[in-house]
Amino acid sequence: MKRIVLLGALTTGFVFGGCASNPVPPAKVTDTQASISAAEAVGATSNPRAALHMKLAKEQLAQGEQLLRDGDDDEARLVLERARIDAELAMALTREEQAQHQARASMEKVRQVGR
Amino acid sequence: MNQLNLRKFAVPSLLGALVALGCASTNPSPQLVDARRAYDQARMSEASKLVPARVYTAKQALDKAEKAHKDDAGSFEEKSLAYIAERQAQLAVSYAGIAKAERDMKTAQATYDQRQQQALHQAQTTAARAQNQLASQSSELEKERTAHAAAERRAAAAMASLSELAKVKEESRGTVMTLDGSVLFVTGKSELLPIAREKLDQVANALKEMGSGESVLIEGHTDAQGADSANLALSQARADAVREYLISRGVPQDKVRSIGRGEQQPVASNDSPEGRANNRRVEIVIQNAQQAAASSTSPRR
Repeated sequence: MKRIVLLGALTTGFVFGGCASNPVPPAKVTDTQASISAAEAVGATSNPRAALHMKLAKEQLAQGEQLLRDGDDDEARLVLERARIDAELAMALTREEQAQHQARASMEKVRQVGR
Repeated sequence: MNQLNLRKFAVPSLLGALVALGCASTNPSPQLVDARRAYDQARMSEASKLVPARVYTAKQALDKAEKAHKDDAGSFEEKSLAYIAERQAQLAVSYAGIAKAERDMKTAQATYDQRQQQALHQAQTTAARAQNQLASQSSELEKERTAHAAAERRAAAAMASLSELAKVKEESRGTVMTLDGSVLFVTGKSELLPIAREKLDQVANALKEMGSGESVLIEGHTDAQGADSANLALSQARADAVREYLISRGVPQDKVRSIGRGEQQPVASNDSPEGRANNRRVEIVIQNAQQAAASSTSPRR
């Protein structure tokens, strides 16, 4: 029975309704923390577009951890995934701006060399 | 492609419409509305071309949210999955931005490298050309210098050989070479002796080495015996004979003038035979332009 439920969770992605007993693996928390750290490492906290998502990621990580302590695993799983995707988006937005900055610098360098 | 996009777009819309029809009381959550809009933006942006896998991931995330909405409209799961789907769509757009910026950077870098290469090549070509030019100029200069030195050596040698032939003196009117009249002519005549021709051949060779600014004045002189007018005529005839001979040996005609001075410019006393012998003479004066001008304006006596 448990096997079938697990299979169902894998295919649809997330458990809902009557399968509240499905536990959240500890890796879910560490994955989220790792995503936040990685985003911080590229400077997401100081990037205007990324900062909001960093804030949301941290808030929801704390919220997810609290839900886990409360034993509300289904909601914790969703909240942790929301935190993780916010961290990933923060990192992408930061890298995007950095790449655009570098591209502009390269094009400026070409312009200065002239023709 | 267009048709595919249309279908992609139609599926969630249709699904939404069906859901709306099925349970008219349950509208999609604001999160789902945002997710649909974000996905449509991603789908219609460059992301479809640059990062299609990311757009597909966003599509799958939206499908999950739509399913959650259908199964349990207004649930926390629907809202959370929609929240995630919206961010997946934004991620696709952002990754497309990264890909585009990286592509631009690579293109710019390649252009930069190419131009640097061209500039370097051009500089090398210019330098090589300048080097060649310099080399050919200096070799030209070297040739000229060598030729000039050779000409000077020949002129000096010619002058040296002249000084062996006759008395050579530097005077204000030029370099004066004095030839003994008795060596050149029979007494009272103006025909050159064979020995004179030999000597004059060497004089001619030396004169041919003259610089372009120099010219020759040939002066005939006699002693004081006999009539003035006869002496003047004889000295002129003798100077002319020497001039004609030098020209016949290749000395440029316009470089040689001749003049008879008669007995007017003795170099010794006419009272003794030795003095008279010294006065019977032909002087070959090698002059530069200034000296030539001075002598041609000086009055004949």
